[in-house]
Amino acid sequence: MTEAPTTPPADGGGGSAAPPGIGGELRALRRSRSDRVVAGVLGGLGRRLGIDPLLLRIVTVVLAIFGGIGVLAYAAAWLLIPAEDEEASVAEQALGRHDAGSPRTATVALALGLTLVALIAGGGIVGGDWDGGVLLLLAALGLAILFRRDDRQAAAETAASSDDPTHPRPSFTDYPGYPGYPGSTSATPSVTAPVDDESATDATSGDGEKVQADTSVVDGAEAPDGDTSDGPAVAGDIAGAAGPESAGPSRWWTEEQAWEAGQPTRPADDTSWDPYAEPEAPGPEPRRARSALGLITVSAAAVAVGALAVSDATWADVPPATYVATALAVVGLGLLLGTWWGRSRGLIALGIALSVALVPAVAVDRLGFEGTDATFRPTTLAELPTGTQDHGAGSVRYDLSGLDFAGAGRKSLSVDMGVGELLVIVPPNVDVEVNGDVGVGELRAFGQMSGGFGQETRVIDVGGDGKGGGSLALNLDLGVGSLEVRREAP
Amino acid sequence: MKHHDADVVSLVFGLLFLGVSAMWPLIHFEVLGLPGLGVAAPVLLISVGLAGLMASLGRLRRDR
Repeated sequence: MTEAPTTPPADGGGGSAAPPGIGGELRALRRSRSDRVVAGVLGGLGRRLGIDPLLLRIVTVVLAIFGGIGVLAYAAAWLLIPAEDEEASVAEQALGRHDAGSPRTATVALALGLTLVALIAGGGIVGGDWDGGVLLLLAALGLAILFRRDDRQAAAETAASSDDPTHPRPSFTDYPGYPGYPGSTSATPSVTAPVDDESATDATSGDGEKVQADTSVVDGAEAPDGDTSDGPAVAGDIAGAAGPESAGPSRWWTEEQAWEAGQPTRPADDTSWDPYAEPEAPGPEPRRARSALGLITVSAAAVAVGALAVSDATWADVPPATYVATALAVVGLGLLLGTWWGRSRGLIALGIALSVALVPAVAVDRLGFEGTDATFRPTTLAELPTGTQDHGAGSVRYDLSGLDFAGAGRKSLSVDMGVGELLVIVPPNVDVEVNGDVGVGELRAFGQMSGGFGQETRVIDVGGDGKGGGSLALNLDLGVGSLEVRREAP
Repeated sequence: MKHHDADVVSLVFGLLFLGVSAMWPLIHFEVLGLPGLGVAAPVLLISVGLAGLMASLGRLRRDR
């Protein structure tokens, strides 16, 4: 543990000499294939940071033991960081990066949905109605994946598929209206002529959306109004695509040729050809098409969780673990579907993360996080509980005012509570010794009040009659909340 | 989505996650206490494992 790793920072992934900022640094992270215990997350991170992975492992295990954060963080990193020899992370594969169709539209819709979930969850936490922490974490995770994915997609699209003649895709620079267009007119059907004009003016004025929309029309994959929410990213595409175009116009010409050659069934001057129609034959695919199953499953899970949140907010009382269990069930169904149709293995990591999250959620439920409002009112001394009474959360009241402690010797009551209000009422004359311990909150014993962190108080109060009238020891331990001991006549 | 040969990995994890999520209502409505969970968890693991084994063996036999 004393020797630092001599390996230089990873050359894999990033490649560039100076990664731009923390985003680039994060994108360059890779899970190590060689130096791994579970999934190579810490091996890769250690190599990148120049820290002995053993140290990181110890920290993670400690974090996992105290509160389980280590497990969640590791699972998240497993989802988000691609392996050394892979382009995309597990989550990206699950969401179907570079999917055919209109990835941007799907991304925007999904991002909006996740933001909504995050807002609902955040509102729930602030309002204190229900425990939306897990949901918030999941939504944040989803958003992180999406933004990372969109970034890389924009970068990939600047290179476009022009490098790959077997998978041609027309770029907006293929249109005569574009200033750098080599000058062919015969290859382009006349139907697109009005669009070309627009594209020309828009390209020169730098309006990204329109150009993107025009491209999409010919792709036949996206509605003409396209997406309106990510102008900057598209503008980046234009800037990137314009670079190589101005460097060598002939390259685009040959690509155009190749494209036309790849579509022999479409005569160049056939006016009946409708560019808006779906291509009837997609042709041979150079790489395996991304399965839509991952995206479908994640979307379905989002819808299910959102529906639960709505019902929780309106009529039903949904325990927090139900959110996690529902999402997990949907992921399970997606995987089951993926056994025979499509591919959905990427969902496994998501399912593991959800399973891990289900454990504390269920534990919280069993402890009664929803708040048990209980009153204990023993009528005889024999009913006074002897062992330590454990309560998770809520509002708990021990009313001992009906008990006669006189001549009964020393009695005691021990209560251990997590979060909430704890009130102990004792009869007017008993001599009481209070040992109160409040982690965060307020402690009030017979009118004496103290508040803040780590309140530990020992109060002895003999009551109105001075010494005598029986003796009672109260050992009260409260994590967070307010603790009060007071006297009341029966 | 195209139909393909059964993917055992997806099958095993899909069944596992469905089983785990199905335990939550059982615990919540107190059909299953903690001792019950101690029985249900191994039962789930064994049945999922057996399903995976059978699917794998089936595929091995078909490949041969």
